[in-house]
Amino acid sequence: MRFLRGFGLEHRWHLNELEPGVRDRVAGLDEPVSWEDWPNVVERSRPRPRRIWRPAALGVTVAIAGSAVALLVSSIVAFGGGHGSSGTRPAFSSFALGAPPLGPGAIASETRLVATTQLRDGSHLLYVSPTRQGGFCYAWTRAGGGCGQPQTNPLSITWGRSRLIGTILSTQVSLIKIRFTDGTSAVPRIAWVSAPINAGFFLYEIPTGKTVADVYGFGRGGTRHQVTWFSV
Amino acid sequence: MKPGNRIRGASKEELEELYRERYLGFRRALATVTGGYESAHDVVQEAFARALAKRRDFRGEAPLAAWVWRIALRIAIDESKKPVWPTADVMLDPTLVEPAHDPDLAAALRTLPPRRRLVFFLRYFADLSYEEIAAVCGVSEGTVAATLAQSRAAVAEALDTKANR
Repeated sequence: MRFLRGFGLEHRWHLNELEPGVRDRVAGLDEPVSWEDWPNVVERSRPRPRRIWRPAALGVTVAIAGSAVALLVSSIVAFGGGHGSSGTRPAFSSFALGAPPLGPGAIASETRLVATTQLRDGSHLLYVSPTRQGGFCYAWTRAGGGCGQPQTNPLSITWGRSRLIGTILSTQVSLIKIRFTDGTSAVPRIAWVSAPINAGFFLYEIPTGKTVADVYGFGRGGTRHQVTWFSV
Repeated sequence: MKPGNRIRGASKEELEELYRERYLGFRRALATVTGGYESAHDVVQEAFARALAKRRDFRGEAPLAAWVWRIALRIAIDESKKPVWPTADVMLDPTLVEPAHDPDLAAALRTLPPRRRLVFFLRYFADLSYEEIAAVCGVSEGTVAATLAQSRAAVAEALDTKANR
């Protein structure tokens, strides 16, 4: 199985040129953890799709999760957040250690930490696991997650008041665009995971004061598309 | 075509390797220009995407990292609606993303002129070589060395002055 490679320890050779007092202060500056998303660079380097279709009927089911209103694609089984703990990202060789239980059928020994992101409330880690049924389960720490089957819904979104949690089948969708009711839009960063998962994952924090109108998924080359559409 | 005009081109593999090795430095230094890590991440992504799309245009006259850096800085400037750098006399006004984290260091860095500050960030935040900085800024390596020596002394002095007050 090949998952995305994480960023290793970086070398900052030139800091030693600074006086020790300055060097330590520069090295001590805080910064958020990083994403592994070369595939996103590759996608962005391709010509943008010209046509955007927006079918209304997508066969989504609606569920209520806690106090947040959530829309869940039918193939996604929602389960609560609070798994695991945030903190320093481990080396790839230890990705399987300490992974949270991800859901029914998930193969615990194959669970990997594949991405981290920084939201207003701190770091959130993404764990992904293949399932014995041939699908996958995933969890964002302190945010939630679900399980899915390949070849079902190209774009699945769990939608809370302040966050969007999404999964994308990489064989059908290559770019996501979130449109807000004020006419502005955003392109969330996607953590792509290769075979056997073949999916992309994102956790997006809705900017304060914005309301999501809809979410689009664009297929490669503009020839294919899938959309999950919300009304609020 | 003259040998000097031959286009070397860059491979996907070279760009991916550069990205994986230097992403953090790109983001860290670009954040001083864009004002945030999120926006810096976006600029890095876009810069590498454009580099990937135009990789056959890379002439190889300067290090690949410098070529991508120039693309990244142009994107950052375009986003901030400032004059194009470095052809115009800039310019960029890079600064610490979160000065509240170390106000004294932020103030010490602010004592440097913007261009000198940028060279400082390219060296100590992006970890670029003299050759790469020279290519990004369009100056000689000697100028880079002199600029950095002056910057280090100025920052250290500013911090010493603050501490002795």
